[in-house]
Order: sequence, then structure tokens, then C-alpha cells
Amino acid sequence: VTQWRRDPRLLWRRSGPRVVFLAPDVDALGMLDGVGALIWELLEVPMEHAELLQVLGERFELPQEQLDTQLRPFLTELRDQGALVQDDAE
Amino acid sequence: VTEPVEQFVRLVARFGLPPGVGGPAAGARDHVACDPPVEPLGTPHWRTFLATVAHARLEGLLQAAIDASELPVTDEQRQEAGECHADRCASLLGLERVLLDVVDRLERAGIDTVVLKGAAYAHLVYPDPSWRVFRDNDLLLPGEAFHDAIRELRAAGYERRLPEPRPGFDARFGKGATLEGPGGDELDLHRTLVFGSFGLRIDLDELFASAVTFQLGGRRLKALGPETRFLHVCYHAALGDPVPRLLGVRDVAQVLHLEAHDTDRVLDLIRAWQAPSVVARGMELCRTVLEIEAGGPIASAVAAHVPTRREIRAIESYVGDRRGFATKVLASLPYLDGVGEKLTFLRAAALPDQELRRSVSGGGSMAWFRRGARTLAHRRRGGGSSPPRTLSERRDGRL
Repeated sequence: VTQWRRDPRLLWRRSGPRVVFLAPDVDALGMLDGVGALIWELLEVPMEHAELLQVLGERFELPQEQLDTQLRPFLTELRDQGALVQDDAE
Repeated sequence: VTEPVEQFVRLVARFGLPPGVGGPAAGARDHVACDPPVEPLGTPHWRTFLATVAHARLEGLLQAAIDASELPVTDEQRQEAGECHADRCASLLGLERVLLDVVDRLERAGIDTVVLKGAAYAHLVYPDPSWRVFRDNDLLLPGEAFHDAIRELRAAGYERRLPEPRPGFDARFGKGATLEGPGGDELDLHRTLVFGSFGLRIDLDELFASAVTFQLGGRRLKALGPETRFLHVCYHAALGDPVPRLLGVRDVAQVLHLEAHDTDRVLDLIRAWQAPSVVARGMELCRTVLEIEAGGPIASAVAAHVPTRREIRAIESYVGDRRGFATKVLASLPYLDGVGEKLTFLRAAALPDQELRRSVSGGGSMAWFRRGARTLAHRRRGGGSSPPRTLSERRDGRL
């Protein structure tokens, strides 16, 4: 089971429809808008990947399989940028 | 600033607050709600407005007001304001990272810190930290650790802007020192909340003992507790500048609206720090600057206080016509213990080390003396004090 949560060390601000962030040990700023900013809001509390997929699928009326082909790489990229933490459990 | 621009700026400065804060205001006039503007500003006015907002550090409140559709703007203006705010957010995050590094460095050296103003208010006082913008970091340090802190920070590349007047002055009498970081960031180190007579009455141990914490970057940093914070926002708004800063007054209204403080404890502190006139002025500024009535038991208590001549002189030394370093020094003398303490303070103020004289007045002892004497001579010619308008009105019982 994969769970996603915001990295508590991240510095960030909402700016209108965007989220601006500065990850630990990274000098470049990151920015999220649109669906990215929505995912950020949803992750105010940690969420399992399946639950996130379900919420977004219902919101955008898309099949979860199709959505997941884009969601997983996006979340992985945010993890690599230091914005999210991925917790994997049995 | 023209009238429509002024109206827009005031709307932004008071965004998210009700017409009255802190509780019912005794004798308050009925609030007459002005019709909010329905049309966006034209281009020339918009340019002035945006510059004014940036100067007053209100970009966060502007963005929030636009998001809430409480300010009419064109699509182009919305985009421009959004870009200004996103730029400001980038600076804020950089400042917060610096703050974490500085606090970490000082803590490793065994130096206690309390974050003042900017980052602390953003995370503790405002509904969303993006509403509260700041341009530097402020840290309160124990007086006895002041020099150790500066030494630590020098090792990290920080430079002090002005030297200490005389050895020992910072730890005993000073308000603090401004440092510039290797990345050009400004860091204000504070020993107390305000220089001069009001600063000398503050119980510095209380500031640390009652501190609370807030979360930043996965760490917990200390900030002033709700009651000492209440007084600090009033000191800053009431004594900081002769023309009060909008954001400083907004902080007063925001703290009153938040009501995180214990009223009795605040009243105790006002008495102990002899600050009713300062708090009264802070609350008056809410009304005169933001058109927000400050009410409740604290407002009633300070409104009933009639300031003494000494109090009026003390306030005048910060924001009156003859404000200045020399008048602050003179107004401080009654609050120093013993002749030795007064002489040490006077000596450091009147004859600081050469390095400071050169930095401030570009010359030797005479240039420094002339600088101070000008203020004092002006004060005598004026026939004594000319209290700020609102205070003199208070003495005459007109408020």
C-alpha cells in the first residue's frame, strides 16, 4: 500500500490558484497549479494512492486506470523534487 | 495618492476583518459601510495602487482580496497582481529558509531565540501565511548572548550594518542590531522590543518564559506568546514610525480579531510595562487608519487612562515632531536605575566609539554632538513638548 504525504520540511505558500514551494536541499523553487495545486490541497492529510486516485477519478470523471498513467509519474516527480514523501507498507 | 487609490488600498489593508475587533467599542459610532467599489481602477490609478501595495507590503492581502472577489479587477490586473504575489512568495520562502539556518546555527551554539514579527505573525496570527508579507527576519535574543550571537553569525558571513556605540551597550541598553547576510538578506537581532524609555520597562525574561512555538519547515520555532505579542504589535504600530505603517496597524487589528490572548494577563502586562498610552495609540490607529473600531475590555481600560506629561514626552520622542535619538535618550533617563547607570547610558549615547560616529555622521565627536544638539535645541525653541495630536486630545478629554 502506497501512501503520499507532504514533506513536512517543505516551505510553501498558496498564491492565488498556485502553490509555490521550496524543497529542502534544493535551490530552485517549484510551482503547482491546476490539478497539481488540487492534489496538494487533497494531501493536507496523508492519503493512500488508491484513495487519491478515486477522488480525482470522481472529480474529473475519468477511469482510474487511465488517470493513474499520469498521476503516478506526477507524484513520483514531486517526491523526487522533495515536495512529497512516499510511504510504502505491506 | 488619489482618493480612488486610497479607497482601494484601505480595502486591501482591512481585508477579512469585521468593522469592529476585540469586542464592543464603548461609545463607538454606528459603522457606516461605504459602498464598495464596483469598477476596476483605470490604468494610471492601478499603477499607483500596485506600487503603494508593494511599498506597504500588502501583496498578500491584495491576492486574498482578489481571490475572494472583494476587489474589482480586470483579468489583466488579476494576472499582474498574481505575478507580484508569486514573486513575493518566492522571496518569503527564501527568507524562511535563511531563518531556519540562522536559528539552527544559534541553537547549536546554545543561544535561545524567539522569532519576532514577519514569519511568526504569518504562521500564528493570519488565517493563511500567504496573507502576511515580510522583507527581513527578526530574532529576539537574550541580552547576555547578544555578542556571542553576532560572533556566530559573522562566522556564517553576516556583517553588522552599524557598530555597537560602546562596549557593553548592546547587552545593557540597546534595542538590537541589523545584520546583512551573505545572500543580501536582512536580519534584525533584538535584545528588546523597542529602543528607549518603553524598551527599558519591558520584562525581557517574560518574553522568553511565555514564548510559544510554531511549525516551520518541519521544525518548531519559538515566537512571542499571545499576550506579549499583543503588546509588541502595539509598540510597533504606535512607536515605529511617525506616519504609521498600514501593515503594522493591520497587525494590531489582526491580533485583536484573533483573540488568542488572555485579557487579564494583557492588562497586567500593560500595567507592569507602563504602556497604556502605547496600547491606546495602537487601538486609535485601527480606527483612524483602517476605520476599524477596537473595542472590548482592553480598549476600555486604556481609553480611561490619562497619560502623564512624562508619558507624552516618551511617546513624542518616537513619533512626535521632535523625535530623534537624542530625545529618546533624554526620555529614557527616568527609567534607568541609579546615577551610574544613567551616566553610562548618556556617555555611550553622547560619545560613542569613533567607528559608529563615522558610520552615522561621517565625522568625529563634534559632528555627532551637533547632530544631537540640533534636535534638542529645536525642542527647546518649540517651548517643550508638542504631543501627537490624538494624545493631546486625550488629555483634553476630547476623546
